[in-house]
Amino acid sequence: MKMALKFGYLIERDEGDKVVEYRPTVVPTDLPNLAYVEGPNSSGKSTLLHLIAAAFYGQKLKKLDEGLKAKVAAFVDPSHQRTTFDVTLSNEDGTLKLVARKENADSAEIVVEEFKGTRRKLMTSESFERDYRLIYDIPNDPTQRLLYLIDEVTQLQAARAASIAGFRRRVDDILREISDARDPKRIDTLKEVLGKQDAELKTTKSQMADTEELLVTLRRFHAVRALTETLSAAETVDQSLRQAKKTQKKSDRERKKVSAETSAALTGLLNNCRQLTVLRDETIPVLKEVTDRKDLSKVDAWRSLDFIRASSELEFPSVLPSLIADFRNRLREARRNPTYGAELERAEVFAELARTLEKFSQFNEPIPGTGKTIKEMIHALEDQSRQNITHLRLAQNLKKASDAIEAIHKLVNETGVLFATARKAPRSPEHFQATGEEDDEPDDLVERLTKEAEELMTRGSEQEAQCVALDVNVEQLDAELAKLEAQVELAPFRSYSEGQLVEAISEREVECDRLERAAEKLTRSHAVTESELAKLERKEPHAFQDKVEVLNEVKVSAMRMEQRLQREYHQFAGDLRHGKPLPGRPDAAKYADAIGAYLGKKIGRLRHVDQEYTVERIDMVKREVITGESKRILLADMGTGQSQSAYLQALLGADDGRKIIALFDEVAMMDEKSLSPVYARMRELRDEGKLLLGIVVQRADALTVKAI
Amino acid sequence: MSADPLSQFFESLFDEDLEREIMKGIVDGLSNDELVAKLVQRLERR
Repeated sequence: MKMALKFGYLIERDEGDKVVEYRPTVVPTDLPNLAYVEGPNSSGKSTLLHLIAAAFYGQKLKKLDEGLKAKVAAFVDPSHQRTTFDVTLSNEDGTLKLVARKENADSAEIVVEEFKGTRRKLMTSESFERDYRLIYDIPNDPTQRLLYLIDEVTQLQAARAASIAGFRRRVDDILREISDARDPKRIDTLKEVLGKQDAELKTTKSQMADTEELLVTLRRFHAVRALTETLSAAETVDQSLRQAKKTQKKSDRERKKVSAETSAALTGLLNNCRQLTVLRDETIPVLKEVTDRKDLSKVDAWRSLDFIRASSELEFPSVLPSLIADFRNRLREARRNPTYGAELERAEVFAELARTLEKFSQFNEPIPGTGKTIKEMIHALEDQSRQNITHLRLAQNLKKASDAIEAIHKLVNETGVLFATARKAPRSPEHFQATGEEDDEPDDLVERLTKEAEELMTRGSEQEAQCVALDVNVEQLDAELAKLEAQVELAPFRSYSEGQLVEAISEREVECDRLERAAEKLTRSHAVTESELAKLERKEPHAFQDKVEVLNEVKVSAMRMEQRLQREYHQFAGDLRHGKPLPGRPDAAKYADAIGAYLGKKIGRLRHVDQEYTVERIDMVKREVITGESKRILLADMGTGQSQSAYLQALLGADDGRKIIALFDEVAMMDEKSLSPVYARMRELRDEGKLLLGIVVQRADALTVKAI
Repeated sequence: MSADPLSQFFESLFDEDLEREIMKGIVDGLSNDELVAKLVQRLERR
């Protein structure tokens, strides 16, 4: 018989009256790896088991019964006794050897070494427990202790949950590594974004250049037209002033009384003619718009009408009625165009839509059905709205010009009556002096016109300076105006009034600012995208780059498993352990079946009364064993020896890959028949290389040691 | 299903194939990276 266990020890124990030394004297110090030892009390049987347990860190084993653990700890505790020992354990073929030594009797230190061939490894309690499973048990109350096996399952469940958590964390790490690695899809997306940003930047810059160019042209147009109008007004005022001064001079010389009626007519017709000049000037931009190119000479004739002169000649130029009639018709025709109303509505709706969308301009996804992003939609709506506004302005100006023509028509008729009254007077109008309270009127008029002329002069100087600053040749003002009016981009603004032009310029200035800011922002975004792309292109691709979806699936499953093991299954194990009924749910029933089958397999076979059975499963709820022969045996009905046998088999049944050292003490209730399945299992495990040492100890009157 | 009773017990606690594969890999002592590679390969074959 090959001996696997060799040991020696010396215990010095102070027993009060003397220090007693103990050495192995009865039990042999060489034992086979499966040994049955029986003997009387104090023969050293339990000491042998304590020695082996202590040599292989049994005192640190969490699962060891507390009473036994205290005994093992005391065995090596210098305050209790001074112990030294030397234990050597080898496997069948000698390829594995464990050596445990305690050389210092005054210290608890134990040194354990593992030898595999020529390789030597120092084993700490942790590394030993990782590779070896020490079972040390006294199967007292085995039926109850069978339930303790569920504790082992609970611990294994926690260990599995921890392993799954570790695995899930690794999957998380891989997903992070992938997102940090070179991602071809992300690169494509970034390139696409970069392309869009390029195009948008180009469009924005082009819009900005166009708007700036239009702004310059508009400013020139505004300045040239304002100066032209001021000069024209100045000329009218100048004519009026000359005439007023002439009247004043002659009236000083020839003070004649005229009738109040004639005097009122003379004053009224001069005022009317000045008002006609103003109204006429207002209509000119619009009339240019509605008059065909071939008839533009009519607009020139309209512009040349000298109403101040008419006031002195007491008659209007003969062409006036036909011009009024012609322009009334043209304006009426233009206003009949039905698109103006629709344009107004469109302008309002688009402007409102653009304002609403502005709130979501950060959302950069295309809007379904349009293929445009919100920003692009806003730009398109604003463009459209601007175009509509020019139409709207034209519609407003047409109305204004029509009103002016009607006012001119009315004034011309009224003034005609005044001309008739004035013609009846004995002298030419410049010879008349108003009577009574109106005596001073020519003086007031001269004063007022002089002041007006000065104001116009000042305004004209400022406007001229502005024109020069805008590079306008003020010597060729008419030619400059004609050139500007011929420009296509100014077409929508030709009919604009002074105020509308100022507003249009202000709008373009705001638009230029907006476009400039947009271009700056786009440039920054473009730089960020470029930098991210360059960074990404420098990286190496990840092996699982296109496996993100399946990795996420694995991660979700692992999380679910982890939670189930830690919550539901942990709870079910606890309930079974303490004899509580499980909740009436399918997962609870499945768990009870699974754990019952597992415990059944762990026990394997058992004897009951006088027969041996194969255990199919254990119903932990009903506390009964179900055998392969469909026999149901209540745990409570099993004999102590039989329960011990079932319990020991269950202890040996757990296979977690570690090599087993099994020590069973006081199997007193077990007869040969009960022990035989335990022995069979031990031999089986030894032959599979899983059991390194198995010692079964029994109390008897005489010492017997035999191989199992 | 594994032959070992303990592995059988843990595998029988889970219904889905993927969960059983994960548990089997853990019980078989595969490293995390080996298990990831195995599962990715299996899921790719679906």
